[in-house]
Amino acid sequence: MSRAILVIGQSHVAAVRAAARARREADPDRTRTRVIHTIEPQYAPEVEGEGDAARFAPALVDTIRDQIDRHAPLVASASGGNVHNGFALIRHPRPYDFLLSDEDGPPLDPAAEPVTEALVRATLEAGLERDRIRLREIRRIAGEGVVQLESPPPLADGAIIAAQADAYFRNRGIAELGVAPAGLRYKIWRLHSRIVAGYCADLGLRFLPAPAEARDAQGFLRPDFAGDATHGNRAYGEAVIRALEAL
Amino acid sequence: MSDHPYRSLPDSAYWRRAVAGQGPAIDPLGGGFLTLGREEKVATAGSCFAQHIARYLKRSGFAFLVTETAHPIVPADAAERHGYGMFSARYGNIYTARQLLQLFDRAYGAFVPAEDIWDAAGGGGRVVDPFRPTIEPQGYAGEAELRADRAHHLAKVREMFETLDIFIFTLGLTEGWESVEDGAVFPICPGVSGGRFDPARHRFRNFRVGEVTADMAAFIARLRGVNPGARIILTVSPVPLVATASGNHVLAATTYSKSVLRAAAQEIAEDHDGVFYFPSYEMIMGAPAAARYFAEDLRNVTEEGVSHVMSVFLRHAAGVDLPAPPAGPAFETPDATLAAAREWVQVMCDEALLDPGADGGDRGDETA
Repeated sequence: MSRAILVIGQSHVAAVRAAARARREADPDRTRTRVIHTIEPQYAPEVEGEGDAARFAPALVDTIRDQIDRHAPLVASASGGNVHNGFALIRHPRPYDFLLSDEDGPPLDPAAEPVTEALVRATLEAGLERDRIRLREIRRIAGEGVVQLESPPPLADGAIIAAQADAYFRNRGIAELGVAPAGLRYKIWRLHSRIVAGYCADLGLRFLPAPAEARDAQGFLRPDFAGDATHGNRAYGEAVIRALEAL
Repeated sequence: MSDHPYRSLPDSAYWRRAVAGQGPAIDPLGGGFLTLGREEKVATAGSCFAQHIARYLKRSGFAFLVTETAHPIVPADAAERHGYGMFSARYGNIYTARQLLQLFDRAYGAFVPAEDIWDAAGGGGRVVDPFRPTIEPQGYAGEAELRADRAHHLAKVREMFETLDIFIFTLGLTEGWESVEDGAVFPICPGVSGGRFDPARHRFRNFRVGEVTADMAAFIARLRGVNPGARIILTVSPVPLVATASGNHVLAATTYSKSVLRAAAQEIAEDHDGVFYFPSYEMIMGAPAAARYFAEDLRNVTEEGVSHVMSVFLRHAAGVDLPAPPAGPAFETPDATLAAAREWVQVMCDEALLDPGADGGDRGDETA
């Protein structure tokens, strides 16, 4: 594929940016992949207005449009992809768990409080309001053909997560509270992905699953594809770019 | 003039002194009543009217006991939609004494109903709990989820029975539907909100006074078995039946049902120490109110009526004065009544599902 790629998002664009930089350094003439990180200071405030009237800031809109006008890229969105971690990376003081519907998943933790999937969905959806706006705005600006990237799966190993957790999770007490059970983290990531995929369907966007080569047999993120506790690394970004090129 | 027992009776024993000319905001509580301390844990169950009691107890700073709370991650509006906080545990409406008794037995494993899962009305493989069919608005995603949630729920019901100080139960209905196989009583007719009605498997019951008193006596014995100091307040819901399956006119059926419940409540209170009857029914239904506390449909109780009931309750039980109900004409205009109706706090009332056109679905602004 010779078409340029533009990935718009927040923290998850770092993996793609690292892979794109490595590609460029290895072969300056190769078709470029570029990224726009929507919460970098030059775009602040990222979103203006509330609810249906919310819009990306003019500086951000101009940057996206400029990239599209100059390179006619395949536009992908790595927007969001963090809400599930906010709820389920750290072990909750009142442990909870739920069952996934419509697909196999880890069993209920018998020591945890059962919460229905509908309530976990409501919890996630309440936290996804900003991400919905981002998707809607990207669709409005870039038009049809935008591809939403599924967020990276969770790591299975809680020890790796505890060791690599960034300041946000360290400040919230991950060392004292511990890492949530892998089963819960996996299920809430799956449910998060299904909700986002539903938003994409409503907007007419394509939803691209996480690269298969980055996942282990149980569906977790392979450690060699992890950048830290919640993000992919350069190898993950490279796998994402290849998946986009294959579309 | 000869002496006789009536000469020494208090004013409250005389209609002319206690009722005539007193207006709608009457206080009909005579005799002894329990004392409610702010630290005492009060649990509620019953028909929709019990939800108002819970609401006022919370608002007035009393220790309303809720053992089954939504997980803290769940947004408050979602928790409310899923039946948290309406009662002390997430059992939904308990309309009949038989339901209450069976809830206790199910919680302690003494009764395991054969028919314990229904297909949701909306299909899609979702299922509902026949004993609280609207607690999950869209039903459970599957049987495993339902059973896990039910096990958690029943554990919280046990915790409630074992830790409460005062249990307020509002008797709502005598009519109900039960399983032919084992007598399991459902809060709503199978087929109305999930499940499928089968005349070979389901039968109508209209409980009599003796059955209600026997069920309540059995419940009280079981409750005291796990919580010897528990005190009980009984009320009778003033809200008429949405519909009757008795074959009688709904007005006559309502009169029968409420009469049975009122008589049973009296007998239970007289026969058991630590059990009290609170006359909220009389305050709403009695002639002094002249239907003032009902909305235009003559079924739903207005906020003014609930406020009056709870002001009397808290004054007697705790020496607390709530603000007086707003002054107004004895008979308000329909628009004003509708306006008052709009002030009702949303309560969950499964019975409304019997006539959704009248009440707007499964969560009408109503009480029972």
